[in-house]
Order: sequence, then structure tokens, then C-alpha cells
Amino acid sequence: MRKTFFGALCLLILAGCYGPVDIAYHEPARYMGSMDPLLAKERSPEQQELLLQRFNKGQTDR
Amino acid sequence: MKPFKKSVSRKAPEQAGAPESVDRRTFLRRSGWVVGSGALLGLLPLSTMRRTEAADKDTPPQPGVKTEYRRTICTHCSVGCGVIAEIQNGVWIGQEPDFDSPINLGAHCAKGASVRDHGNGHKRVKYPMKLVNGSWTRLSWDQAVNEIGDRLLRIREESGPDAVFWCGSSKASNEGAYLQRKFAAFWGSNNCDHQARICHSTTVAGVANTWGYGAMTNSYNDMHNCKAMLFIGSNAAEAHPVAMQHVLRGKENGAKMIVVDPRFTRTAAHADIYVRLRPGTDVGFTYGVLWHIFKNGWEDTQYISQRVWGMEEIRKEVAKWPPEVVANVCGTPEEQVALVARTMAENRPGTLVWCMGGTQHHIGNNIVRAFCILQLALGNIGVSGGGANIFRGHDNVQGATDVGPNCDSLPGYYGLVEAAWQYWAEVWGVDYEWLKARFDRTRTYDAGSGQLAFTMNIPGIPVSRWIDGVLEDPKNLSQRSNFRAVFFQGHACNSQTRGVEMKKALEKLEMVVISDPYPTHMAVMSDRKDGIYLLPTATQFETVGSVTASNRSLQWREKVIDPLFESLPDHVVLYKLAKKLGFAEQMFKNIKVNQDEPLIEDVLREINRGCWTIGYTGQSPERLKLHAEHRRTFDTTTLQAKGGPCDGEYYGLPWPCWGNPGLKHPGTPLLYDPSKSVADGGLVFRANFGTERNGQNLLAEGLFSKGSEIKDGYPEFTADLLKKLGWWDDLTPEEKKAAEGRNWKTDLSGGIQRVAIKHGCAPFGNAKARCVVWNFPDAVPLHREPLYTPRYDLVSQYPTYADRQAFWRLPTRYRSIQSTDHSKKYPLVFISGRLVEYEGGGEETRSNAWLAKLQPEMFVEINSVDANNTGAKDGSYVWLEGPEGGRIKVRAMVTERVGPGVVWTPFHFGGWFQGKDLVDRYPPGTAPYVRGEACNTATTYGYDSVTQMQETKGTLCRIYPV
Amino acid sequence: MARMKFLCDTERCIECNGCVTACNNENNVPWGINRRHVVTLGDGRRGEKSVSVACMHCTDAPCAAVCPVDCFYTTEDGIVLHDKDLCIGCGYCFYACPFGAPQYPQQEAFGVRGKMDKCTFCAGGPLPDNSKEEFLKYGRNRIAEGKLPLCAEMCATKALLAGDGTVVSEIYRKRVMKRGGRPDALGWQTAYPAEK
Repeated sequence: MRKTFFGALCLLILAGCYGPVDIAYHEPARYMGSMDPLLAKERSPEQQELLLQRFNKGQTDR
Repeated sequence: MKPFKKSVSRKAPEQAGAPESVDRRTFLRRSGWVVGSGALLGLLPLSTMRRTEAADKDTPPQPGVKTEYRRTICTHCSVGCGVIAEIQNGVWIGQEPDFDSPINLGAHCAKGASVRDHGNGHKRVKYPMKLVNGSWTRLSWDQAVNEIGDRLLRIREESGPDAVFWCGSSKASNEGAYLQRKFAAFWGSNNCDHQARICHSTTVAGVANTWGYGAMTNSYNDMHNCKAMLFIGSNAAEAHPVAMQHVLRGKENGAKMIVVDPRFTRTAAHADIYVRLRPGTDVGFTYGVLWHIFKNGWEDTQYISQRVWGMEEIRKEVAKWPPEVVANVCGTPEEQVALVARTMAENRPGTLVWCMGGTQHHIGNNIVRAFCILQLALGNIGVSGGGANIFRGHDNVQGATDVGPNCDSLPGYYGLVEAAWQYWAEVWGVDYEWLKARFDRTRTYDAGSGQLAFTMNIPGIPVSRWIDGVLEDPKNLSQRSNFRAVFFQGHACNSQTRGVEMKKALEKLEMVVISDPYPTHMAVMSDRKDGIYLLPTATQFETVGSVTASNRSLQWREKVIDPLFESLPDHVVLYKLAKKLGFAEQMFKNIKVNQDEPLIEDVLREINRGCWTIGYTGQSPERLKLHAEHRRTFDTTTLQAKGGPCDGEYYGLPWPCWGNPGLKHPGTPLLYDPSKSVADGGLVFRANFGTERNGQNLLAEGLFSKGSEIKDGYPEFTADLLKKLGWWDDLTPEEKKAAEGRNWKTDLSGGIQRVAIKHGCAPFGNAKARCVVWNFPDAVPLHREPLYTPRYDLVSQYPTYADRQAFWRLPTRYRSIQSTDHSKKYPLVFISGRLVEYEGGGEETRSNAWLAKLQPEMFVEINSVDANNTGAKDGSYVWLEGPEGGRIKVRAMVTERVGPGVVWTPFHFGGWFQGKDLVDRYPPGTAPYVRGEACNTATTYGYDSVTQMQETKGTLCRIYPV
Repeated sequence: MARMKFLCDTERCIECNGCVTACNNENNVPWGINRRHVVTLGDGRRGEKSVSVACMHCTDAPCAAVCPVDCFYTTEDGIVLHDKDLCIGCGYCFYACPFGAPQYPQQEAFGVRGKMDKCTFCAGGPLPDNSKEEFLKYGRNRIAEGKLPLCAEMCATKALLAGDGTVVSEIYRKRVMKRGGRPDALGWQTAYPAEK
């Protein structure tokens, strides 16, 4: 009886340690702001080509 | 979970090891600008109070609204950077880099990158005003023109036309500057001038008298080809920042860069060799270099025998400058001078660059000629990578010198002799007798060397001396009366010396008219309560016109925005005034006028029609606009177009661009370069000094430009010479009619030039450069101690000139000033110079918030030795007092940049006078963001013996704590 | 994909402040601050060097690592930007930044710090590209227009370069080879440590 009670108590105590497992940990440097439409634009090869051309036009010694 | 992805230190390792010296910005922060700004109420606006203005300043680009791009040229320095303005609904909303310009390739310095602020114009004069009982009263343009005109007519009636000083501007376009000169002529006076007087007048006179033209021989771009670059008295990194792009490219191509300057400048920071010298001893230093060249036989003997006259005389003078003498006079040790000589000798072609450090001395004409002689000895003139690369100052100081308001010449350097006036009367289409009658004909005056002349033929009073034109006893003047009124269109007064006397002069005048976008220091520096007029005048962004860069290229400016507020462009202001004064009809005979606005293109066409001397004839408005449109086709080193509609031409048709526009001359990229034919931009030295001297041949010997049919030297071309050569019949019948009895400068048909070039010859002849200028006070350039010298012990050996009674209409003192030794009481040499953020008198740039926040205070650089001796603490106020009594209150910046015994200040500040901020005297809302002491309040007397250049690079001062 | 970087060639920088002014002109930079600074080392002495400094758009940007509200993001091209709506002006990023790039305009004359402002590589922020809102909050979005930062595009001597890191370093490498000496691209090792 005492053994059963002690066991139940342990179970109960252990049960008290239980909580929901999907805690939101703070992950540093994960951006929380709104989306910048520029990101999609940057992916386009045309835009990349445009920027490269621009560099060669303006920043070289020509 | 790691708290940080990697460890982060606050300081970059590169920064950790930085030297602990204080830079200019840190200095300013420490000096209370940022930290203690709360205490300095006058400065507060920059950070807080200005926010109200910032709101309307930022005109965001609007999506969906059409953006127009207009191209103009920066209005600050003479490099000539292209500017692209973005305009929406007439508002200047952005600036884009002009990558296609072969001159700047998109680049700008702080000033060029800030020009959009002109489109806001917060601090501009917004409407015409006059000062009445100490307060500014608004006028309409009609009222202003009528009042000013009536007063001028009364002065003219009572005292003659020479009683008014007409100050024009190197910031005007070619057309504006040309009209300023023409206006003075039609008013009947030579009393007009502009910034070139106090900038490069000694260069123009000295260099032109050596080899023909007083201009930069090569170009900024050509510096890619240098093997050596010697900068004396030039701080290009601050004064011509975008030129440094070409300089550093040249350096990367292997050129050795030498900087000689009393100050370790930002240019010196990039040099391979830096040499300090005492201000004003440039002749001695240059002869010291030549001493080593001659000793080692490094001179180019073939070049000298073919193209140089008088070098033997120079050798005699150079022999007096052995290393120990140079070390004593200039303070430069032998090994450094020898290193400069060796570097220049072993790395040819090399160029020599000079600016105000060389020109602003009472012997400025000697100094610049010594520079020319050094380059001639090395055979460096007339070759790519060589040259005398004289960096001019203001954006159009070259053009205004060529065709603008010069008191000693008519447009195109035609001089003031009767034949010149008759020639221009013909170009202008007016009766010479009528023009003559506009001038003071009551009597003749001492023209200088004893002979008498009418004022029409005597150079006017230059801008460096206008205050003496007001204050001098009229008995001593070579004109009828003192100045009773002055008209300043686009010229700061704080750039001229002797501020204390200037204040007196301003207070003595009956009327002061300031036609400028900003009120300028002139409006506030005197205690006048009446009689100052402010005429709101447009910047060059609000009008069109051509502008000549330092390399002699002409560029076309488009109008970016309409004139702000009630502003009017220079040419409209001049037209309105001419109309009121009664000579508009004559003056604008060949020029279409539309509602008081003369057509700029017609003005340029008139310049084209008249300026044969310097080849301003081929640059028609149409050709210049075509060059602007196709600027991408020009090579960035040679400036020559490859393909396209301008194929083979040089960018901006650098003068001389010979003949009529129809001749399609490509322009002359390098002066005196015989490796090309004249038709392709080649040239030889000008025959302007006769054909022989003392039995010696002054013409070139065995040297001629490519394709020349005369295989030797020859004199300048005249109708007679064409006949002698049997080339007369190459002229068309119309040309023959126009050319009869004329020469290459006066033949309005251009036939003589055309035929000379057709035979491969330069219209101006083919001569030697001369080292001895027999018509100057010192035929061989000599060193003379500054009027206020720290080495009084040297005065007996290197004395100044005797005083002169009539020189540019004024008594001019030399010996009587130098006879007093001031060096005990005023032991420090005082020099001035530029900051990159500001330009000229600085009113415009100090009114530009983006620039003002970078340079918020006037300061003086002082070596730690002198700081300790005088008790000047870094960042604290000191008084800097000149030997004539003027003093300025400025912050001390203790630095090793200047050597012991020398202090330096910038010259762009104004709005303070001897310790007092004059902010209350500005018309409401026009005080520049940054004000400070004008350094010239403390500068002194001293004027060049040929051109009246002021001696600002080497006076004296003392410094004591406030 | 490009990796955008800044490089300031100190052999060419002449401290003309063209970059600083171009930035002010283009980006509606709040009064009293500058996003870019020219720092001079050894001012007035032999060996004087100047370098133009702003946000270097670091690989593994330390500002992003310390930001308590996670307002930083890195674009596909490696440009480090932030959302001013999230920023609380705490100043942590200023302490983390090796280049002193983050700036804080004063809200009031003696008041609290405003939201952080810094160089955006002329790429605006997380708002519709080249909208009025984006311009007023972050400045002009040149990258979206196919242009590069105006500071570099207007540099007086082409000392300051801005573009794809490989292209930029190639130009710099050629210059160093041509003029001799050793490369000294101030800040590069800190901002862009060699990729693992």
C-alpha cells in the first residue's frame, strides 16, 4: 500500500513535469519583419545581368 | 544553442592600430561642433532647427510620374564634370552619375554630388531688395532697375563712365561673361574684371608671354600618359578632386608623383615625393632644380636649340642658386632638390601642375615663368604626358578669361589699342566713333610708363584693387574720379585682401549693387544702412550656355530648372540694365532678344565670329550640342572620338578650334604638339614677339608640325605673307575681299586661317618659346622676398621693386611697404587655401546643408611648435592678426600638416567680421548655414608687378589666444 | 548569384566626401546624421590614409546576431537590411558593428534615440520597391532599378567600389598588381571572412 502510494506520488510528481513540447525558442537573427519584394526581384537572372552591366559601365576605369 | 554565431569584437583590427593623430572631422567634433552644440546656438540649426526645412527639401521621386533627364556641367571647379539631373514636373528630384562624360566618368566630389541642393535654394535672395535705414525692403524688378539705372546715369553725368566698377564673374557662362565685357565697353569703361585676376592672372600673362597662350597646355585626361608629375602650389585633392582620378591613373601607370608645398596637403598624401618649401620662394626652388639639371647635363639640348630662346640668360641666373643658397632661402635641403631634379630628368615626359600657390605672389609672373622654363629645359612642352598643366579654379574661369570681363583686354585677348577697338566695333556692327564717344574723352591720363592716353586705351582698375579705386586720392588716379558705385555680378568680395580697408571702401560708396543668387559677405560686412541693392540672379542650372573647362574644352549646359523665385539669369539682368541705360539696341544688334532675354546661341555665334586669336571660332552651338549628345564616343585618355558623328574630333573642341565651324577643325587637345598636323590638332609655339631679337632668330629652327609645307620657323600669317608664299589664290573671291590688308586675327572670313592650315601651317606662326620676357619688369625671372617676409635678413639681397606711380591707373607700393620689418612682431607666415566642400568665397556652398554639415567652422592650422609658443590650444579660439591690423577670431587646429613658422586657413568663410557674427544683417532667411571669419580680413597689401595679382600666399601674422 | 560588397581603395581615396554627399542627396538621410563617413588615419602626416566607411553588409552580420527584435535580414545578394517598423532604437547593433555603421537620429532636441538608420546599399527596405513610403523611410532603391549605390557610382577617383564581390576584388587585384605593394582593403577581412 505504502509502496503503491509512493509510486503513485512519484508518477504524479513526474506528471507535473509534463508540458507542451512545441515551445517557441528565440532563434537569433531570424528575421521577424515584413517581406521585402526586392528579394524575389534579385533572383531573376535579368536583374543580375543588369547590375553587372551597370557595374562595368560606371565603376571601371574605361 | 549558441548565443552568437561567432565572436564579434567592437573594433576592427585595422582600426585598432590606427595612429592617434586627430583628423579634421574629429577635430571639429571635439571643438564643440557636435558635443557642445547646445551651447553654440548659432550652430544648432544644422541638427535640429533645420528639420522644418528638411521636410520640403526632400521631394521624393514619385512613381508613375515621367522623369526627365537633363545634362549640365558642375558649376564649381574647372574640371568640368558632367551632371545629370532627374526632373519630375519641373522639380529637381535626383542626380545620376554622368558615366558617359569622358572628363569625369560619372564621378563627383562633395560639391558636385550636392548640386541638386541648388534646386531648393532655401537661402537664396528671392526677390530684388534694397537696404533702407538698415532694413531690407522688397522691390519689383522694374523698380530696382529704374532706381539703379537712374543713379548710375547721374554718376556718369557728374563723374564720367569710369566712376563705376563692373565686376563680372568666372562663374558666368561664356556668353554671360562675354556680355559682361561687352556691357562695360558699351557703358564706356574698362573698369570691369573677374576672379581670374586673383586666381591665375600671373599665369595667363607669364605663360602667354613665354610661348603664346596662357592656358593649360594638356588636359586632365592626358595625365594618364605622364612619367612624372610635379605639383607645385596645387592641392588638387581638395581643389580639383575629380582631376585626381586621372592623376592617380597616371600614377598607377607608373608615373612618379612629386608634391612641393609648404603644407602636407591631401594631394601630398598620395605623392611618392613630398618637399616642403617656404612660401614665396618658388623661383629659388625651381632654379635649384635647374641647377642640378644643368650641372648633370640633363637638359634637352636639341629641343632647346630648335624651340627655346634665351636659355643662356637663365643659366647665368641659375648659377646663383647652388644647393646651399636654395637651402637657406627656400629651406629645402639639397638631397630633396636633387631628388626632384633627378626624378623629373629620368622620367620624361613629365608634367608640371601649379595653382594659387605659384600665382598669388607679388612676383607671381616670375614664378610661373620659372616653372615654364623648367619644363622647356626638360623638353616637356608640346608632348603628351608633359605640359604645363595649369589647373584653373572656377568652372568657367578659363572661358571668362578668354572672352569675358577683363580690364586689360577685349574678348579673345585683343588688347585695348585703337585697332582692337575698331576690330570689335566691326564685329559688333557699331560705329567706332559712337563707341569711342561712350568713353571719357575729357582728357588723357598717365598710362603707366609715362605716356598719356585716353581711358579707353588704359587697362581698368582690377578687382584686386577696386577698394583703392574707391579710397585713393583722385589726384593719383589715371581716371577722372574715384569709384562712386560698384556692380558685382557673381563675385565674392571676401576673396580679396585687406578686408578692413574694404569695409571702409564699401561705406564710402554711394551705391553697391549685388547681382547674385546669394547676398554674399559684401551685403553684410560694412556698417552701411542704405544704398545696397540685391538682385536675385539665377545660377547656371537655371539657364543655358557654354562653359570652358581648364583643358580648354567647351561644354554645353542644358537648362535644368526654371529660375527660382524672382531670379533672372545674368544675360537678362544685363539686358534690362542696358535698356535702362540706353545702349541695349546697339549692344544686342546681332543678338535676337525674346522678352528681355537675349538668345544665348546668338551670343556664342558672335563670339565665334570675333575670337580668331584663340580659335573660339569653330565651336558653334550646334557642334557643342552634338558633342554633348555623343560624349560616350570620346576616348577617356586622348579625348578623341572614335566613330560616331564626331569621329576624329576632340571632346569639347578644345581651343584653338581654328576657322569657321564649317572647316570642322577637331580642336587642339595638346598645345604646341608638332607630332600632329595643325588640321588634326597639332601646333607649334606662337610667333608673337617678332622674328628676331638682338640679332638672334626668334623663329623655330628645323622644327615644324607634321605636314607643314614650310619646313622651318615662320612668322604669323597675314595677307601679305600669303601673297609672298604664292598661296593668295587659294582664297575664294569673297575671302580675298575680306582678307585684304588683314591678318589671321582680323580676317573675318577665316580665309587666311583656312589657307595656312591647308598648307600644314599654324596661323599664328612657328617660333621659339622665350625664356627672357624683355617687356616685363624682370626679363629673367628673379626671386624677390615677399613684401611681408619672415626672412628680413634676405631683403637686401632679394629686394622688391620700386614703388610705381601709375600702374593699372593706381599708385602701387612695393619698396615703401617692404622697408619696414614686421617679422619680429608678426613672426608667422600666413597662407590660405581651399577645402573640398567649399568653393570661392563660399556663400553658395556654405548655404548648402549637405556641405555645411561637413565643414561647420572656420579654423587655422598651426604647427604644435607654434601652438606651444603662442599659447594656442587645439580647438580653442585664437586671434590671428595681420601686420596691417586686421584680425580674425578662429579656432586653432594643431597639426603637423603645416611646418613650424607657417599657419594656414581656408578662404571660403564669410559672415563674420573681426570676431562678430553678422547674422542679423542678412535679409531674413538668407544667412548661410555656416558663417565664419573671412581670412582676408587679416591679409595685407602686395600686388604682382605685371597683373596686380594679390599676394595672399605669403604674408605675416601673429596668433594669440582669445 | 552576386554577392554585393563594398571596397574602398585607400590608395585612391582622397577624402573628398563625394560619397557622403551623394548618399545624403540620394537617400533622404535624416538631418544630423550621415550613413557614410570618411575616416582619415594619420591626418597631416606622412602615410596619411583615408577610407570611406559605411555598413559593409557583412557576411554573418553581427548586428543581426545581437538584435533583440530581429529586424535584420540579408537579401539574396548579401545586402543587410532592416525593418524600421520593428526597430526599437536600442543601440545594441551599434555596439556589435565593427564599422560604426548604425546611426540614430534624435527624435527630439534632447530626447530619445530614434529608429536605427544605416546604409542600405541603396536597396531600400521591406516595402514596395521605389514606393514613396520606402523612399521616405529608407531612401532610394537603386538596386531595384538595376543601379548600384550612388556613393560608389559617384566616387571622385573610383576608390569606392560597390558591386559583386568577385568583380570588385578583381578590379582591386589588378590595380594592386599594376602599382605594386600589397593589398590593403581596409575592413574586408572583418566584413567578409573567407567562406568556409
